[in-house]
Amino acid sequence: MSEKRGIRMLAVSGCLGYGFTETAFDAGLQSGIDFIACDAGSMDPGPWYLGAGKPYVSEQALRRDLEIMLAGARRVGVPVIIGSAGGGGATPHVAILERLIREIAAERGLHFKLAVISSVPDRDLVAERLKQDRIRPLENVPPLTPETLDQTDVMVAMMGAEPLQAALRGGADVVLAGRCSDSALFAAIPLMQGYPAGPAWHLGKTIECGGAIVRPKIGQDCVIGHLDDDGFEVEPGHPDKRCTPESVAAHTLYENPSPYDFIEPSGVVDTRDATYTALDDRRVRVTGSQYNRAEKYTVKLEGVRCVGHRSIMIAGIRDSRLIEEIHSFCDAMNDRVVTEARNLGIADSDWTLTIRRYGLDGVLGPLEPRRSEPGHELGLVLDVVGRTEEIAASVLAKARYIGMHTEFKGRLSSSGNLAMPFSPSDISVGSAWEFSLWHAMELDDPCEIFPITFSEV
Amino acid sequence: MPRLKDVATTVRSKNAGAFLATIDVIFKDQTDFERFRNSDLFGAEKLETLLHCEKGAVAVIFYEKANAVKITFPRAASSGSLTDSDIYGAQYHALIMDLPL
Repeated sequence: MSEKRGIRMLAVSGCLGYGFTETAFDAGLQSGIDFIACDAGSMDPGPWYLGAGKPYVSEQALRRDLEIMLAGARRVGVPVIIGSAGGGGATPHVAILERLIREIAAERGLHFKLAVISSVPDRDLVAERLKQDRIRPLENVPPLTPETLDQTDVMVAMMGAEPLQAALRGGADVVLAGRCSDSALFAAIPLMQGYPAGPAWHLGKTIECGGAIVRPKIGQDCVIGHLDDDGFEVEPGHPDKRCTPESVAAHTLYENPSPYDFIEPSGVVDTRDATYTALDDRRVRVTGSQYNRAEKYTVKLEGVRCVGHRSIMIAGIRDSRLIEEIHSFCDAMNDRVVTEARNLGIADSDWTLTIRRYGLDGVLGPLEPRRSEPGHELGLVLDVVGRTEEIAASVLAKARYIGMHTEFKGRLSSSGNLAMPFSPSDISVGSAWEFSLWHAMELDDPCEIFPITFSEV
Repeated sequence: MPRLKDVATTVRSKNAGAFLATIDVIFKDQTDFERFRNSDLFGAEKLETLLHCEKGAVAVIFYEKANAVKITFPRAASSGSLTDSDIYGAQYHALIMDLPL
C-alpha cells in the first residue's frame, strides 16, 4: 500500500468579520496546516450591498479577523485565500479589504506577495455572450434580455478554482478574490496538487461555513479540514467543540436547493454516495463524494439594478375599530396617496408604496393563511420607493399624513390613527436595489474575465 | 394532535439563491423520519397549495443521511425586491411548522 498523502486546511470563519476564537485559530495553526482560507461574502443579505458597494459586516470586525489571520499565516508561512471580498466582491468591496490588508501589514510589519483578482466582467463581453446564446437563466429567473443587461448597474461573476490557482502559481502568499465560489477557496490548492475532485470540492463545501458544522453551535469558529486520496476529515479548531456525522451531513442541506448536487463552475459535486463516519467524539470522516465535470465551463453572473430611493415610516395601531377595518383602510390609504401624489405633479410610474402590516401578514405576505386574524395591535411600515430622493420623501410625507387622518367605518379617533415612535418619523433609507442578473455564462477559459494584479506588500 | 414542530428537531427556511427558498425539516431519528416520510404532510399537491406555487414547482427531497426533508420552491418575489418581505427567506418554515400530523 502506498503511503497516504494528506493536506490540511483551516477555515477561519463562516464569513470574514463574523469572528472566531483565538483558541480555535491557534489550535488550528499548531496542528500543522498547509493553508488558511475564509469566505467573506454572500448575496444572502440582499441586493443593496452589491449595488451600494458596501460590506455587510463592519470594517472594525473585518479588521479584527484579518489581522489575526494574516499575522498567524505569516508566523507559520502558509498562504491565505479570501473570497467574495467585502461581501459582494465588486470593485469597491475588494478595495476596502485591500486597503485593510495593506494597513494591517504596515502596522504589524508583515511582508508578503498579494494577488488581487477582479470579478467584474466586461459589459461588452457579457453582451456578446448573450448574443451568442451562451447565457442561461438559473432557476425561477427570466431569460436575460439586452434591456435587462443595460439596466443592470453593478455585476460580478463568481469565479471557480482556476483564477485562485493562477494567483498562487504567480507566487501569491495572500490571495484576495472578488466574487468567488466558497468551496473553491478550499479546493484550489488540493486540486493543483492532484487530489481527487470529489472529496476536494465536498470538503470545501463542508467547511466554507466554518462553525456551522460544529456543536455546540454558539457563534462562529474555525474548522480544520484534512484531505487525503480517499476522502476527508473535519474537526473543530476549538478543543471543547465537536463535529458529528449528523452535524456534518446536515450541512449539505444548508442554503441549497438540494443536499446532493452542488454546482460549481467546472462541474457538479455529487454527495449521493457519501458516507459520514465518526472517527472519535469530535472528528468525522467523509468518503464517497463524486465530482462530475461539466461539459461547458460556466460562471454565475450576479447583478443588481437601482430602482430608486427608499423612504420609510414605522407606526403602530392599537385602536380596535381600525384593526377591524384594516383591509379597507389600507385600500383607502393607497387610493388617497395616488390622488395626492398626482396633485403634486408626481407621475404614478415614479414611485411605489408598499404598506407592510406587521401583526397581520407583514412576514409571509400573500402566503399568510391567517391574515384575517390580526392580534390586538398592528405595526405598519410605509415603504415608498421613488425615482429620486425628493419624490420618495414627498410621497411618504403624503402617505404619513393620509395614514394619520383617513376615515374608516366606526372611527372615533379623529385626532390621529397611528402611533409613531420616532421624530423624525420619515426615514430616508438610501438607494433601493433589485437583483436583475442571476444567470450562468459560458467562458472560453476559466480565467478569462478574472484579471489578477500582483504586488509586494 | 401533535404538530410538526413538536416532533422535528429542526424546521428552518433560508434562501437557495435570490430566487428560490428552501425549507429543511430534520427529525431526531430514522423512526420519526420514516413515519413522516410518506405522510401526506409532504405531498406535492398540499405543498403547492400552501406555498402558492404552480403545479410541479415545489421540489421535495427526502435526505436519509440526515433524517431530513428538503422542500425547495420559487420565491414569489426575489430577495430584496420591492414587494419582498423576507430578504433571507428565514421565516417561510412557519407555514409548515404548525401543521398537524
